[in-house]
Amino acid sequence: MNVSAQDGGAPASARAPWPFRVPSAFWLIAPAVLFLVLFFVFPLLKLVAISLPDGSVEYYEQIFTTPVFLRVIGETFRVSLIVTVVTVAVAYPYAYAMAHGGRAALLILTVALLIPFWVSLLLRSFSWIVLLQNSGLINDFLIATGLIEKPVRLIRTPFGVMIGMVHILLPYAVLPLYTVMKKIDLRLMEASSICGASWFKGFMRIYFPLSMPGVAASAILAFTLALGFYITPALLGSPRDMMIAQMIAGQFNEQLNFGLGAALAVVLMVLTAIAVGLFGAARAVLQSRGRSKGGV
Amino acid sequence: MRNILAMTAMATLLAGTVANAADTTLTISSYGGVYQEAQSKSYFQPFMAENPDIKIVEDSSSSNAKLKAMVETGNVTLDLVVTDDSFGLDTDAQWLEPIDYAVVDKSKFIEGAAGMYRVAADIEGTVLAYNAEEFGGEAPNGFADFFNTEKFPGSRAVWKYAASGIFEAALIADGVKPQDLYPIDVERALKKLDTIKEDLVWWESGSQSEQLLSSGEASMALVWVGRAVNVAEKGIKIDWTNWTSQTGYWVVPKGTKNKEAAMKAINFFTEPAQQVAFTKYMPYGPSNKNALPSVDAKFKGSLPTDHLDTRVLMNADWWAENGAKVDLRFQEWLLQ
Repeated sequence: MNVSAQDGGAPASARAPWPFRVPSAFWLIAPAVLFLVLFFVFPLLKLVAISLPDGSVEYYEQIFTTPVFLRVIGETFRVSLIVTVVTVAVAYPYAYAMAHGGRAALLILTVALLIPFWVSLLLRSFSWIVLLQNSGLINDFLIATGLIEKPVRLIRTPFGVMIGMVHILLPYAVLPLYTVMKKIDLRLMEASSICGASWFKGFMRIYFPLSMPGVAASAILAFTLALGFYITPALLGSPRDMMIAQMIAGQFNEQLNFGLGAALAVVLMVLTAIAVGLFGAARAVLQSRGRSKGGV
Repeated sequence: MRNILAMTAMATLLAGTVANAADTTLTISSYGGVYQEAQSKSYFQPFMAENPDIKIVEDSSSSNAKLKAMVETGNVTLDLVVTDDSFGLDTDAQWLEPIDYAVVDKSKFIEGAAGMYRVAADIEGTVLAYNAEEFGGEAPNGFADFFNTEKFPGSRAVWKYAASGIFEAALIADGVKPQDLYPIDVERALKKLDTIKEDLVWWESGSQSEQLLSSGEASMALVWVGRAVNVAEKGIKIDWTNWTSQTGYWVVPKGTKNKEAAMKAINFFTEPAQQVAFTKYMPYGPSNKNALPSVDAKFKGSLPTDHLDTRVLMNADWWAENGAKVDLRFQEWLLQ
């Protein structure tokens, strides 16, 4: 506050403690904060403004009174939830093998995980078409071997959407799990087995609870990403598997109704925030319960 | 040091002359791909050769949403945009400059090709394409056969877009005369569509429609004519008994600084010589009636303008007015 005192180079100890002193870490995150405010917060507020033309909530009214929108929003959350559960269930053993399977396994599994990660999402969805369609590789193979007579419908079904989405989300779910698992001290498992616990019991009582932060992180990541899926359900699902992002795109690109599109996007965002908040709260409750149980 | 200064001065001078050579830059946005390449070869390059003072810069891919956002934020970077049937109507006046018919000759266009805010760039169509091998020599005959899954089994691929022409096709298959289509009886069309709902496969991009046809995944499809011609080698044929109109249009975004040059370009692009050259590269017909007789032989017979007598002309004004409502009903029907 007193400029001259600072300029005078008074020893730090002699200076009155400055209540407004900013911690130096602030300057380190300043570019990121500035970037987010400029390119994320500002456009987001703009989006909210577009959804409320002259302060009118007509678009929100329309969303909450139109069965189509409500149904697609509900379907989006339902599909995302199922996809999240499947993704984490598949990712868990994969991450376990990466964390504890030795160097060669780690290398192979990491490469296998990351190569598809670098391929464009559109291309991966198209590849699934080639595999899954009625005249695709899987059906051709099954028919050629005489296992089936008529093609099985794999594509344009909820199964098609599921397999495409799980595949795309897998790296996002595996990596947080892996970072947590790699830090788990396996000697704890040894200790449990010395104490007479079976591998399964040790896993359930020691390893699994310790890996929970990884499970939570990968589930939240997979879930929030799944809510915004657009291309995959369009290519691999039937129209009945429509997700809200497709409707948002339709309002912007086809109907040119920016207001309704923006309102739909805001609704999706708010519901996502609520879902993630609930998830976090549930986790906190579980953790505190676990801690008190451990204390007893 | 002196040398460097002199060279810099020279370079500046030269750059100045180059800039002088083209004092207007016309930025045009089209749909990219082979379509825009064809436009570049038959429209843009000849135009620049004839008008050395105007330089054309190409942009892709056209989007009505982008145009709208651009005009609304007052940052108009495009001078001329190719758009589709759904845009450029009188109801879109707030985003577009009216066509200056003192510069563009209105009398040369075929019926319905010259509007207040748009003129047709080319005449396209959504056609019934089918896999000739699937039906053992039998060929479908119009939209009625598209709905006849007994005689012509297999999946049908259709654009997942309410105004794609699918409502018109369903009604014609149900016996409605083309001149009585509008106003569209939405529920009647959906009822007709219910009869083949399990056989319908929806596409959302042109490449997807090609993939569905060429892989044999769909035995019939309603696709853009250019896409059907692309897969002709794979045994895909076109049935011209009924087809719905589709058109590419030139529009000029409101607030462009190069309005005059844009109008001049529109007039040039729709002259017979340019439009005939365009038919060398794309199976889309000319919008200039004087170009019709002399189209290139390459796609003769596959051009929509060779089949204008069977064209079902879509009523863009009706769609502009009712599109949002019909779209919601269509989405609801899709979810059922």
